[in-house]
Amino acid sequence: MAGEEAGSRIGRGGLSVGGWDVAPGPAVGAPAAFVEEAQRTFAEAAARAGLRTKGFRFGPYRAAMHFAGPAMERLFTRAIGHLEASAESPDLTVSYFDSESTGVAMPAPPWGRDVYLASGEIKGFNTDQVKIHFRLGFDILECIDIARSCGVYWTPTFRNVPYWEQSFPMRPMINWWLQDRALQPIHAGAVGVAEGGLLITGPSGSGKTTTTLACLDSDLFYAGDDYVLASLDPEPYVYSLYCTAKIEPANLFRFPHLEPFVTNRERLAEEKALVYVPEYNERKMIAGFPIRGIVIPRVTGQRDTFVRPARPADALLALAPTTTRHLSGTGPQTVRKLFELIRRIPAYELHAGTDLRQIPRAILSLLGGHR
Amino acid sequence: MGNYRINRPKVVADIFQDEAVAVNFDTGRYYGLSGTALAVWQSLEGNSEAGGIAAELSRRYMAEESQLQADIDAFLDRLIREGLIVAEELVRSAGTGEAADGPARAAWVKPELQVYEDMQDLLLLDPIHDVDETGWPAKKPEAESGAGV
Repeated sequence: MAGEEAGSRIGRGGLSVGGWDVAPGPAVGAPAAFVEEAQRTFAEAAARAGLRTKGFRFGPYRAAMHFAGPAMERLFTRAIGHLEASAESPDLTVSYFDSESTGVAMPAPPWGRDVYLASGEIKGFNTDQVKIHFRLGFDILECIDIARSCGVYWTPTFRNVPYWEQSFPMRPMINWWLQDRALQPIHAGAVGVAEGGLLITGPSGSGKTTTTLACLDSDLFYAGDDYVLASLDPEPYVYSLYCTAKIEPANLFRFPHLEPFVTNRERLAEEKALVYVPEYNERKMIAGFPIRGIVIPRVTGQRDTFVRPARPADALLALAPTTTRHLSGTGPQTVRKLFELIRRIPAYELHAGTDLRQIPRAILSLLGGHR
Repeated sequence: MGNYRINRPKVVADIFQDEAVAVNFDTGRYYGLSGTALAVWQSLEGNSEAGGIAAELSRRYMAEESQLQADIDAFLDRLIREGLIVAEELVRSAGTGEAADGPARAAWVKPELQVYEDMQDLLLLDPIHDVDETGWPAKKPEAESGAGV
């Protein structure tokens, strides 16, 4: 049977050395075999709970998301609802299931207990083409066979999927799948118009979300506040990935017009306020635009906003560490793409004042010089 | 002679105007090198020995020869410790050569390495977990708060 063949290839038998059990290293092909086994398990779950499929665009590509039953579908499609597309002939397929709602357990892992890195990587079960990560504490397994463009997302129960996980579905899968392609998910917001716009970057707490959301009620359009997709081929271009905005509860007072649209109001003691921007105003979403520059917000506490040129190295150091930290399994290819992006676009510091209306004016003024 | 090379492919680096940014993928750390640190880094691309680097920089910077060499050696040791360069031999060179006539030399400042990010903890094993009867790690009894971003 296929399962037994997978088991023997994975090499679940151990050996003893000096009285100590030594877990064997993974057999060649073991990572890919595990992804295949995960897919078979998903198929079983879908047969029990019902298969549901949704298609989405990401950049010039399309993904098909398969769900075993409705529980996971509800969690993972809202943040990319603005990118819904046909699921026919997808470039990437990701299958989602949980054991509680489907009644199907994930087979025991073929690795020992001491291979879980803090990053989520399963040591010894990641190659250039296969990524297998398990997030301890959240019990989330993500695995992908890049060569076959298919991945599986599993968790014991849909009830424990954190809110922030729902705000950026497929983030690691998309990052891994794009590793050898020209696109790159980046930790940045993006606002602009069809002719061009700006990336807004910086670590959490630097004013990126405030700067991005301050543009919602202006002539600028919104491509994202947390993660977007950057392309360098043929020119720097950004694609929207997620329509969410996550606001620190302490900053919610700055956006009273968004308060009615907060979806997790009862959990703001533990979570950022989560808003789906299309629910506020779907006309403010934009699918993408040419990148005319990158902005590093600096919160001043003063009233007025002003812009000045930034050093490219500062822009890189605002963008790259936070991007690579959040995208587990990131390798040198990602950093090279970020280097190239910074090399090709001007960088600015936006000294953001407390009069938020000045922020989009400053950005529009910058773009006026680049259109 | 001490020979050094940038620790590729583990290290990815590029120069942006007046600063080099380097990333060590073994540790996840980002580094900035500007001023005389950048000058040393650029010299590493063309020179492999500490004496050659010192000779090149003595043509660009005013400094006592011994101070220049000592600062460069200390900086190279730091780059080695951070995994940014590797030494192929650790024997120090004998001399730096004489400064040639040329454009006015800038004042020498001891090179410093800026460290920007430490993801080292993400590369460590996390052995403190239990597996349940399914073989998968069990959720910790007191779950950590969501800190994905």
